[in-house]
Amino acid sequence: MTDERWLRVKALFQAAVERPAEDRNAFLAAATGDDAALRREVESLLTADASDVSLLERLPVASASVLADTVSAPPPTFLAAGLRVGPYEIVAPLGAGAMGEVYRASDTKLNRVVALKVLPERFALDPDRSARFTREAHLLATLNHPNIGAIYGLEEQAPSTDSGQAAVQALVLELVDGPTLADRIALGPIPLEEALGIARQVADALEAAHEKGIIHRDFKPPNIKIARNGVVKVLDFGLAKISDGAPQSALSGSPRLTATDLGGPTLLGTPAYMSPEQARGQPLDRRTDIWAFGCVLYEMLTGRAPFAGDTISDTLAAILEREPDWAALPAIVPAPVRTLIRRCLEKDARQRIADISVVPFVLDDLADLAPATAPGSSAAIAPRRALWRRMAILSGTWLVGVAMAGSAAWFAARSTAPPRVSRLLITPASAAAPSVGVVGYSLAITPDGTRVVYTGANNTALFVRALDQLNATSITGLGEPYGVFVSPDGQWIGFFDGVTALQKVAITGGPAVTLGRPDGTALGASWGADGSIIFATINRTTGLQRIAASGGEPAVLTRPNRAGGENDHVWPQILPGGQAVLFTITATTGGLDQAQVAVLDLRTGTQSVLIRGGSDARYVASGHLVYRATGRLHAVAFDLGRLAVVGTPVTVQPEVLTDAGMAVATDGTLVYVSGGASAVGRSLVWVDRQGRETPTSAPPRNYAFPRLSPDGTRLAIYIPDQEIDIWLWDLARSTLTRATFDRGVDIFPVWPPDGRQLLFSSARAGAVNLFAQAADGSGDVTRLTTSPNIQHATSVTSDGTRLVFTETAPTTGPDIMQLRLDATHAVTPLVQTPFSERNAEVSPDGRWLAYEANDSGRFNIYVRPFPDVSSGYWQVSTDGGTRPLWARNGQELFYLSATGALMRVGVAPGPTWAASEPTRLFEGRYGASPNQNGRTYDIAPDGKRFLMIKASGSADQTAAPTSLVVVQNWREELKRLVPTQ
Amino acid sequence: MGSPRDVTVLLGEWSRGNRTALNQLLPLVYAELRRVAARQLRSERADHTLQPTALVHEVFIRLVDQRQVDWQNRAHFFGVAANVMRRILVDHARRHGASKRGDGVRCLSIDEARDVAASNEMPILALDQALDRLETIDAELAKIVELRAFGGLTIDEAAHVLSVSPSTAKRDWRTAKAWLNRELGSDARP
Repeated sequence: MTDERWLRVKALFQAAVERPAEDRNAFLAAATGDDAALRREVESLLTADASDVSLLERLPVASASVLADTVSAPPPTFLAAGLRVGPYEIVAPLGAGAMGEVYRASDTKLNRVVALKVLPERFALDPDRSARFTREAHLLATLNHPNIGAIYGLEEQAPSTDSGQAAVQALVLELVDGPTLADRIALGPIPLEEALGIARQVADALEAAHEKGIIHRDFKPPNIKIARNGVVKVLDFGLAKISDGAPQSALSGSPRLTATDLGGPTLLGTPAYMSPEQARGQPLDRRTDIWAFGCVLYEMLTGRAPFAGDTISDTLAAILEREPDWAALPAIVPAPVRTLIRRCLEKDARQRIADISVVPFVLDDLADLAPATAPGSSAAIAPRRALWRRMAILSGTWLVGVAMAGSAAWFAARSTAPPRVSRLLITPASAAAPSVGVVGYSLAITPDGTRVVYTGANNTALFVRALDQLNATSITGLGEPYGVFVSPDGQWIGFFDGVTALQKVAITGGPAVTLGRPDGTALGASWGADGSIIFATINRTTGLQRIAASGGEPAVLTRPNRAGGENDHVWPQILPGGQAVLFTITATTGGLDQAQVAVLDLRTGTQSVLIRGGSDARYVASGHLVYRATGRLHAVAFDLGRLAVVGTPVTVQPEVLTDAGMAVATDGTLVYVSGGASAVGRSLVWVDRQGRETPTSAPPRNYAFPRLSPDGTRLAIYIPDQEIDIWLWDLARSTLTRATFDRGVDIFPVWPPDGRQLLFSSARAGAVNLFAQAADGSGDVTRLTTSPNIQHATSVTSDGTRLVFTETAPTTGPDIMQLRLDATHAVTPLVQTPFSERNAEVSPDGRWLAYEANDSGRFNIYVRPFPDVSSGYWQVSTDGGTRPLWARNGQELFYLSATGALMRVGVAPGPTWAASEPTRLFEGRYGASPNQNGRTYDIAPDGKRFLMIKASGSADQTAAPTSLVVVQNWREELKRLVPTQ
Repeated sequence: MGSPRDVTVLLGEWSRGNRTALNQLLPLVYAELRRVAARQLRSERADHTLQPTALVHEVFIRLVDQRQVDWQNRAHFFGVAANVMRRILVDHARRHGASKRGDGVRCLSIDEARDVAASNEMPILALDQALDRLETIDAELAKIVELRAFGGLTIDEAAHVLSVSPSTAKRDWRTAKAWLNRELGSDARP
């Protein structure tokens, strides 16, 4: 629970207890709204309060033996509460470990709580040892991984004669609250699925450390903490070596069984996890941790350590000579896991799995297998090689795993100096240029940071750019993909097609697989390691939703709390470990400046706000959240264990982000789109038929879907950058005023012939339906349709009787429909096929319906007679076309070509269709809004010029080229700009 | 060192913000607590139990010059002593648990704490851990429990140590009690 949440609970509790018991329910119901979790929390406190048990009466009494004990015991090294060691103020003792006392301490500089491990004085007194210790501590402090209890650094304090305080040398550690794995195992064996989840996380931790050449050397259940949110943290990395005083090389040195070890009963547990080479006093490498990992996995599944004996010599004999009791593994444990444990517990280190990075591959594969048939005991004792082969067959990616292990080893062998930050500017050829979307994500990066995925070619293709290649490869035939995201293994691209489908396609191309039907245009998606996808849409009745990556029905995880001022929950990002998801709460007023970054704990269903005035947060493995605020990228340290922000946010990227947003790989590679349309908003310009441009005085905003009023004096236009509303630009008075005021998306304005009303689409009541209101903003808003399907207004017939619109049905996709603008509000289909038909416009004489459809495999412009649409059918565009528009006199039809050029077709008046070949008026340097399929231009009533939208700041030149900026090893920069310690 | 005059001066120093004074004060309080306890033990039956708060009060009377100390310093002293008392009890419980298990500090899980709670006495380690947890959520609440439970401070005294109004202290104490009751199990557990 965050401070924020607790403060609400506390305030409500304190208010409620003041009231008579019978009034409390009503009070809580009113005060908590639909936040059931909050209400339960307060109620549980009220119940506890009502119990008669007095806390003071239940306090422990000090038995005489307690104080007798303290009389004989030597006074402990005493760091009192309030005492300071450097910037750390002691809060309370936590316990005593092999290396000295551990205290809870408060970091007064960074305002966070840490664990301070105070070292025995003998360390401080031996200069050699002290220096070595300092070196090691600094190396260990470079470990930064969500599953590793961080070592923030070393604090040394010289003795003070004034205060009589002795020299203090202390390690500053991340404080992880929660039971240890040993506590958990003490309750009994851990269920398979949970055990494998823990194993997966500790393997990640070991892998991260091994990559830096750091081995744990004392990996065992008491050193593994399970934080309350389920994140597993491995503690005390490398400390065994420090305390042992071994040489600093990671690959040599061994803890020896000293007399102290044998004599100290507190160390009894330790030898059980010793590897054979450790027991023999041989040099150690990372395989000693792999042995211990095998021991821990075995112990989780069986409840006992594989080599535990009654005495130390028994234990050592078992480690060196005996096989674990394989029959003790529950029957449900699948063969690959058995094999994995066996390969970890090979007594000969050369036979053992050499690299921990194979473990995640094995465990991840299990998730794909059907529930394993219980292997018989015969399988368990079958010859190792045969089993090994079987496992290789079971696990398709095993060979990949081995290959990866090889490369990981190669990386690990390289220098431990921090990697250099480098910036690449990729400006793709125009055919492969990124489309800068307004909604959802337009780009993604694979978790390993090697490939960038983006939408391009006017949103008709996905591009995959491997950073080690010169060119991007395209994946076409996907409709109009947007909102891209990548699977955790980097093998799949998830995306949305129009508003109809959530799909995935292999990153190498191929056919797309439909996973489900979202309830609106997507606003972000994230693919979890557990095989689920969490996404959000503009539909405000739903917040975050989860769907299986293999497809299915979406389940709603959150709903925005309207009463609490929440507008929608969007832009989900699943955090490492899969236990929580970051998301953005948009506000009902104030635009993104008022948005909040929040986190949803998937285990408890509780959500809490992390950052006010920020949006679209991502987690970076350096221990940071990065997010947008005032258009720029900010970062703040983040404690993954506590799901809490630490310290102060810093602006880390001065450049204003485009709507394409950014993507961050797990390895800390950042990518964002620079330049191009919408970098700083767009401006409205007039363009004549020769392509000559005249600016308007409208301020740069993120405009889309301009619609001139019938008399040409006003322009209704959609502006999504603030309130996601429709605005009116008065051409004579040069004023821009807001026309719609709802909290939801208001979009696709259309004028009826009298110009007195605005018809539009709105998400104010759930799915995007059709609404009407007076153009001057007076009077009520009338709901015209009620449908679960998304409806986009496109045009009104010149007699004002019918509104033509696009409706996206789950079965037939976008279809063209008409709504009677009378009291019946009857809706009937006009063109309804399994293909996509949309953007229909009825000709001014009311005889023709022009629209775009993709039944030829790409979008082209078609015309049908109106209203009897089945009596004819002509293709107008010859080389692709979208967004048709009639001249006001009906004698011309315009549309945008596949490259965005404005095309013209002459139309002969009369009852028979006769049209000229299309000709090009001017080129397409006017930014159509990708992902927004509506018409992005309009024509003046006199037909002489067109109102177009273009990237601003470039009135007399074409828009800046759109580039991808890739920042490799960005997390090093983050660490520097926003220290997490 | 150790005379009522020294302790009283140190207390004054510390309440004026001198951290070093606290550092010197603590061992004195600690040693005196043990001395008082030892004396009581010699004169009492071996299985006699002592109220920690009573011990703290006796130490206060012995260590602090009553004529020189004001009401505020008295509160500060109990704030310090409460922390020391808590530490003594927790240290003992840890050592006691360790000798039973032989593998170092053992922490009570919440479930175990609930079982123990059936006997009316609150297990010290569970209480200590619960207070630690409470501290991460709301340090003020944790402190007020420490002052009241281990130092025997009244609501008004605790309010002064925490620099809050007595009515706030009263509300917080009730909240903390409810929170701990819920965490540690009580008859109210569903």
